[in-house]
Amino acid sequence: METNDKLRILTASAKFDAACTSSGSERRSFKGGIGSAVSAGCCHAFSSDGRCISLLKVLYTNYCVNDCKYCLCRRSNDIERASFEPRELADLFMNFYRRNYVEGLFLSSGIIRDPDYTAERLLEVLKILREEYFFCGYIHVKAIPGSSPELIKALGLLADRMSVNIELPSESSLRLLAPQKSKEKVTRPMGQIRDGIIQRKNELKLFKSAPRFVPAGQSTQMIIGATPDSDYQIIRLSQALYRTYGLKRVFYSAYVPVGSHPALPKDIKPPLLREHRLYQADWLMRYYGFTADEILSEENDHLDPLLDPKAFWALNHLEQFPVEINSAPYEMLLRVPGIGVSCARRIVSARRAGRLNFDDLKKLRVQLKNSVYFITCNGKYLFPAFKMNHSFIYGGLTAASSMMPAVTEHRQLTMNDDFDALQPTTEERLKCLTGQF
Amino acid sequence: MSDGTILDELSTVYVYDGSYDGLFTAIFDAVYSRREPADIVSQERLQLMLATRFVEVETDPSKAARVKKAAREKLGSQAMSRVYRAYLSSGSNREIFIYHYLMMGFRLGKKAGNFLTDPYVFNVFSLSQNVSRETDKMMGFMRFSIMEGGVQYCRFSPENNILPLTLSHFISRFPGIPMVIHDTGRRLLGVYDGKDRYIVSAEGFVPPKKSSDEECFEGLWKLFYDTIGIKERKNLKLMKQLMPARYFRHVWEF
Repeated sequence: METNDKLRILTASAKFDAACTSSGSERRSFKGGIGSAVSAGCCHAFSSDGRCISLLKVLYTNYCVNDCKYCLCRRSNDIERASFEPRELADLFMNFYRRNYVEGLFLSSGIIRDPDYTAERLLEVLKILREEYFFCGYIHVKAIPGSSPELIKALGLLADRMSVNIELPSESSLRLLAPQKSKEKVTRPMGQIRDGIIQRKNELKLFKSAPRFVPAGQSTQMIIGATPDSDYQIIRLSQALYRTYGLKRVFYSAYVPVGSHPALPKDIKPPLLREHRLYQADWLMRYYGFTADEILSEENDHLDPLLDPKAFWALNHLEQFPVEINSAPYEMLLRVPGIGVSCARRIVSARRAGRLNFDDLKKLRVQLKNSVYFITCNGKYLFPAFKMNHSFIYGGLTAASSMMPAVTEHRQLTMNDDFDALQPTTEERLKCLTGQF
Repeated sequence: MSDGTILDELSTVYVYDGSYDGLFTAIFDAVYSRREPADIVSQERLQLMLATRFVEVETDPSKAARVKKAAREKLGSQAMSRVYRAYLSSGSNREIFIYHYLMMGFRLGKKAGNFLTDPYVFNVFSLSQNVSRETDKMMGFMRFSIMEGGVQYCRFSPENNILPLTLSHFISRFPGIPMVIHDTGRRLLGVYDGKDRYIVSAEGFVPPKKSSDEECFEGLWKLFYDTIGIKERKNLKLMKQLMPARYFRHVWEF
């Protein structure tokens, strides 16, 4: 088979994996080596669905012994199948990399023969790249569930990021749709990678040249909308993963109907808005100090389609507002709808130089459209008529255009500007805007 | 330095040669002549104005180095990289913003960076940020071809003068591999011969021929690009918003 056809088939099979970030790892090239990685990540193109293309995202093979009902590559599905040869894939990748088409490699695979055999093939690709080409750029590789710990360790020593996909947010869904998988099969490699990362951190304290192990951390993915799991269950699970396994990212992928099982929804549009809201909630947990139980609850277990989760929270906690811009702690500024991480930092920095009023906020390009209901400057609202009134604010937040033309006139549309290298990274922020991640 | 004539009443505009050292020499001259500049402009942007005294600045690296050293000590290296990026921007008035930002820095030290509500500080910050943002984007959107003889060649036409920044990035990414980056708008070449780097004029430059493999890899990349998009999620509006049409000219996938 021609490389051409292999690339087409194995890209088509990989495209539903949402993770395509190159962030979190800093690598420098050395003489004779090639490649580098910047921790902010880098997008090289945007595909027709508006998602960022950062990595060469392919499967090593789309033959698979498993029969997961939601997956395009399930054994029982009648599709074109192909496999790369390790050297063929490594050469193709290096040719893409030298032309600056991509920032790194994302290598996943169906399970061919058995998990260990598959993991060995992936390891071979990584070895060619790191030890023959001396490639110093970004590599994301899948930990194959069920493969031996030695192989996972060997992969982790060569890769920047590893991931094990949970795919379905609850064990009952997993049992129904992915009979060959189990929670244990997913969490075991996750635990191993976490322990490896911790071990490396401890070794670093003792000696400087401790070998790198998964320096960009691990991530996972969940499919949204294939099973009846609620948003509350999903973000609770994400929170648990961040806390217990120290994951860097959880990706959410709106389900595109490719499955066959009677329990799977058919003819649905991918739930993109739901995916977007979940990412917003995820951001709140990672960068804004929110917990899952602040965002949703047992009774109210789905994210609001009209309001973003932060605005929703603020509306239900009006007793904590208004927030005085000149004195509120940074953590509280972050909780104001319309004020993000970079914006809050700018306010904190600027108010060291003097008291701020609303004109100053406009100069700092603070977006007032949503935040104006929740903030005061020197004890005053922008408009004295503003009352801490639920329905009034709800109307303002959900109105298609701002209720205050006088304010928005001055507003710049480029709000995602920060003055220092801040978290979240540029790449992530771009994705935040696209609802893609 | 007053010469007691009517010229004292006129505003002073310093004219420099466009180089970074030139700009710092102009700042040096402005400070030591105690003649507050109404503007600092590069020769190519010079427009004659009435009632203005023009002072031609002769670039002097030692004067520039003195200002740079003092500024680095007073404002810190982060502020200096901000100033450099603002200098690379295409914003008009960038020199005078830089001048006032530095003067403020000499007075206040590192604290000057907090005065974001000050128009000069704010403008230096946002120009530098604009340059950083374009650089970050370009690092992804630039495409190299491998030419006959093995040189990597890339053409682009950025809004700001980000050639030095992108050249550094690609040299550290591909150490030892000769490359040429061609800014077609400013007619500049960033050249790296595997050891040293230069920025030279592209006047009369004819790029070498692409090597025979190029077409094959451009085709493979386009194939990858077309395949990776999920058609059920198609959203061209979003795609164009993230990758504005002005970037299309130098990439292969469209």
